[in-house]
Amino acid sequence: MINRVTSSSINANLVLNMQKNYADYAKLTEQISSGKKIESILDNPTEAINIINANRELNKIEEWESNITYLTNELNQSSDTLDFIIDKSQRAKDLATISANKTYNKDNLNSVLTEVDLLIESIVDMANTKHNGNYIYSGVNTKTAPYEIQYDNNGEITGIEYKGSSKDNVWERKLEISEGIFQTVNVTGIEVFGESNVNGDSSGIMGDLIDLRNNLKNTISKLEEQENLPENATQAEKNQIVSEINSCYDSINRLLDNFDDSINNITGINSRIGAVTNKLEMTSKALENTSLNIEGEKSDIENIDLTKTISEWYMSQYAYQASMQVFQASNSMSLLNYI
Amino acid sequence: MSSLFSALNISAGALQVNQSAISIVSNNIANINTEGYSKQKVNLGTLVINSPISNNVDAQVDSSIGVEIVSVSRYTTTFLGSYYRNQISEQANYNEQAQIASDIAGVFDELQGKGLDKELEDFYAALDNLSKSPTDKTTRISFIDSASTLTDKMNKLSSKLNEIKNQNVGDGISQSELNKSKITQSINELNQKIEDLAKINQMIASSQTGTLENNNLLDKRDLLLKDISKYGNFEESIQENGTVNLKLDGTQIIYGTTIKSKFNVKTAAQYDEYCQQNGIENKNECNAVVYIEKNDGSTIPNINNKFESGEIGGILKANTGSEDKNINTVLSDLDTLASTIANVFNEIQTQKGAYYLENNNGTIQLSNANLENYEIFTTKDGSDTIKADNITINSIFKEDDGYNKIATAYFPDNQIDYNAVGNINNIISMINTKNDTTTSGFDSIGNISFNEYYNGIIGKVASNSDYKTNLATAQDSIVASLDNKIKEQTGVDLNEELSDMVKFQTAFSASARVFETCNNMLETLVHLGE
Repeated sequence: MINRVTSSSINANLVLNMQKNYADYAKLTEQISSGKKIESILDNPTEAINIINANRELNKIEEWESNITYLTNELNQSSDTLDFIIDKSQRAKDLATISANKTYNKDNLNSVLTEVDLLIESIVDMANTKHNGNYIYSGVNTKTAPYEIQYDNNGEITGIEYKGSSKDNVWERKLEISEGIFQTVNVTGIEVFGESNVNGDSSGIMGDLIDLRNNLKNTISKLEEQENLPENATQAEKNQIVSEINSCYDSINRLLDNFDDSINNITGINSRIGAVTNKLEMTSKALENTSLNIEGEKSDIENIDLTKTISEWYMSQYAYQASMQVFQASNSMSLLNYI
Repeated sequence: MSSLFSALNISAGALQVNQSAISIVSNNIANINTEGYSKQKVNLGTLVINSPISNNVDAQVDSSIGVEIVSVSRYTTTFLGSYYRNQISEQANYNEQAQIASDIAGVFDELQGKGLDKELEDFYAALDNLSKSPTDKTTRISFIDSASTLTDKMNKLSSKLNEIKNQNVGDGISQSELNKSKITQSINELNQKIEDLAKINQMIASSQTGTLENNNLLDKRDLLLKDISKYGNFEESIQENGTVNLKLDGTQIIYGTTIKSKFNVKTAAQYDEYCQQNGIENKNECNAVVYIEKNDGSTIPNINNKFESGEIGGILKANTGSEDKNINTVLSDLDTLASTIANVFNEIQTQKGAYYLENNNGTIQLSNANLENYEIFTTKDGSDTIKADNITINSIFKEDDGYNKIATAYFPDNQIDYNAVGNINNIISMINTKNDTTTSGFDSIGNISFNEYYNGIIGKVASNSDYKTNLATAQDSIVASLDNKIKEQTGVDLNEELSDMVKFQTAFSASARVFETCNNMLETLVHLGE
């Protein structure tokens, strides 16, 4: 049986096919010119969701990396500060050693005292270092300077008081460095440097410094007492003062171990900071790798394979040209040409 | 014995018949591109006389008296029946749903990087910055700005979706919105077509009184039936006399030449009122309610679910609550997202132990007075339920010094240290909502993160659009192939017509020659007498 075919059905078919071929051609042309397979979520819903997820993941990583840079900067600053303070503490310990060997006279000790005062001031200055406008060592009381030197009415230093967060309360400042993981950046001043407050609590390097100062002060006053001893002083009185002076020297001597402990404490904390910095560096590298992988996956989904697409584009071009040729050829075929 | 005049008459008749046949060919060619035109064919037959022949050969010759046109028939096909029109109806339905689904998906086009997903990311990035410098005015203000951009984006998404809904079915309240909507337009067009069909029925009934068919009117009737099937799924019954009766779900729409019912559409508000007055339990889930007005004055109040296909079916399905993944479910998903975001953050902001900043004559300190009034998110219209269209940021934060009211610090068990302005534990709780979704606030979105939930919405919307587009495309090709079959079987083919033309022309010429010969013979006889 021969099916009846009519001019209008052939015509409609030709037009439909030509439109289809042209749509294919246009789609491929668009993909090649934009370089992307998926430009709208409608192009491929599943893959589009993957792209959205990849974009979000990349943004998060960018955020974490910026946090890591911020943390590293603060940690580096903290580490530099600690180095400086260790240096100054070492000097204070040296001064204590010299003072304890009994060779210095009253004037020498007075100049040592002056230097210790200067050391106290510069160590406290450093301990009050800020990063990005926030005090590094005051825990979360970031707008309160962690240390305050206490003076008596004569302008003599009597203590170094800690004003930052207590170790028993919330003190940690942290930033997110990867999914749900928060890295603490700070250490409290009380933990690193200790303090010497009005209640008599004395700890850490700050306590040692004040102790050293107090002992120097005592020694100087005892030496002064010895100098000002009246001519008629008994031997017992003389011996008494000498033994008092000796006990002053002894207590300076005993401070040396304290200084060692305090300096070791700071050094230990400093190396912990170094370890955190290293860890952050590793995290940052890992994040970078993840980011590269995600970029790769995203590009596989999103971008066209140029060779493949261009060959498809040529094919679609041929198909479109062919359908136009067929349209022209079949339209010129008519009985009209023969009658 | 037959007379010479009889031969002359036969050829004169043949001339007439062929001339008429040529006019049909001419009509076919003239209508080659007319939509719905079926090729017409001239059916020829011999003229017969019913007289006794018996043994009389002359009588036998006399009984051959030439040719006549018995009828002009049109080429029809079984495809032109209700099957084709059902497919057309489904096509309109799928196309409408695909169009609306793709409009909805267009609202969520996230790949351009301007969507809600991006705003959520920015919001969390601002929180992250806030955790770096909680006392910094700039980071605080930029957090408030990003929160307010987030709410704006949600408002915008919701209003865009509502706009799509408005365009289709109106807003459910305003008559003028309904009048502008697509559903009203479709209903009006449908009523017009029904009127047209009634007129055609009238014309068919009055012109087709004998046995012959009025081909051109039948073509027009079929075309109208096809047009009507684009709007909905009607039951049709074609009568003996060529007229057609229409029913929708058992309700007579056209019977013979009279229109029994007309369609009309109400707003949801009007329908609610109607239901209250008449004690009907209201089950409408759409902004527009289609109803039937019968010509006896009675009405059928709600026939939304009677339109199973067609353009009207498509519009109603895409905009009513029953169908999954339609515009209403997307809107309510968005509302859920908005209220969950608001509740989760408000909860953390105002929890016991949370503290915000206060500037006491230049010294920044912590404070937790009036925390319950400092919720981050609230509603524009003062209503209690936060939804995507009314979510906004508490105006307190926009006041001078308002930026300090974000509760950044958190102390467990009343260990408050008012100088601890760098305490960021409350921000950390907020940041943790990115991953930790186990708290009761997340129950309403199934304990997944905001981004995952939002991705779910996008995924649903995009795959729905994909699915509906595929359905529509498949249906398009079914209809296209049916169309093609119909065109093949009922269309006009030029070559066929040209060959018919040659055929009738040849017959005409031959008949003319016979006429001339007879004429010559008559003349010869006439000259015999001279």
